[in-house]
Amino acid sequence: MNTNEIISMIDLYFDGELEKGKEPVMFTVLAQDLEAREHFKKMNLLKNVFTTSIEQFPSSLDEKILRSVGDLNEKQTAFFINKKVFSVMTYSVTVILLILTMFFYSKSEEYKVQFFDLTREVKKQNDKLELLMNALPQVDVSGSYYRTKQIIVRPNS
Amino acid sequence: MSDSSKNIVEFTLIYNQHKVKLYNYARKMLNDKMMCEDIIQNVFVKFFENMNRIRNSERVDVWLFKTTRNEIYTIYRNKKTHVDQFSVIDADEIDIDSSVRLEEDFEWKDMNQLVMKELDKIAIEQRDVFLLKEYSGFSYKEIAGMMKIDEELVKSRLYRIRQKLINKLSKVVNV
Repeated sequence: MNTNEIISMIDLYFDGELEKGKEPVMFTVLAQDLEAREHFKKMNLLKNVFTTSIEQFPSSLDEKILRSVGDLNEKQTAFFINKKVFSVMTYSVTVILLILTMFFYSKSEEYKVQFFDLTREVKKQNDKLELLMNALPQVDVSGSYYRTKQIIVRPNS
Repeated sequence: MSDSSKNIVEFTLIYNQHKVKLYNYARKMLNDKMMCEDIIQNVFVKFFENMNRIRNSERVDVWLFKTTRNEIYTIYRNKKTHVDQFSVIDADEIDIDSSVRLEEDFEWKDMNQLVMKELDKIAIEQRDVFLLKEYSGFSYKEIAGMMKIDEELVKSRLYRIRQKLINKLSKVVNV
């Protein structure tokens, strides 16, 4: 194994990407290769420098975030309560509308029956009137109102 | 336990688990404490608002880093001059200043500063790969997916940046 391969193996190891099975191989090669050992030490130093460079999370920011999240949570809770009230209201209105619809439907059915009865009655009356008209004797109507100022009605013989 | 209390508890657990890593990532990407704090706050508030949806659709840590990264890049896009003021150069172009001769017993704190200063000089896309790897612990594949670049490019960027940093450190410390 050449040095470049070992160096790339070391990089993989520090990045946590080296297969577990290859770790013993890497350490065995490291014991034999001075250049690779040097690279390993340098990588280790860089890693340590980075680990010690980690800054503490500012407590003021901690407070700011938790406070804003808390406020947001309260708002969300209030929203859900309002949402529940809204659901109940919607349900009630729906039920009321349903009852009203049923009431008006039954009323319209009643009016429909009444309308049919009345129509039948009117038709009957009309038939009767026609019958009466037909029972009257026929007459002749003559004369001119504009010229003679008289209209003559004579039974038809 | 009510739903809202449950949400708060779950949020706090996730928050405590990721806050330090996320803060350090943003801090080193931006170099502006106030801006970094604003971003972290926005990201966590956004996370809380969409917590249930996020937990069902993807990994929380990936979402957090991705969102933070987007916010950082938005700032960089809006303030292009901000990028210029760092006089950013490519990792390949960084020259090790050989005139810097420091004492053998260089302290950790100074080494940190040296590394961070060196890191600031590196172009943001390259620095991003390195910081994501260091702070998020994502795999090459995950970083490649997040940055929409090739996995091999992630590896090579990491290698180049590390070489530069190691060279810089080697000048002041005998490893």
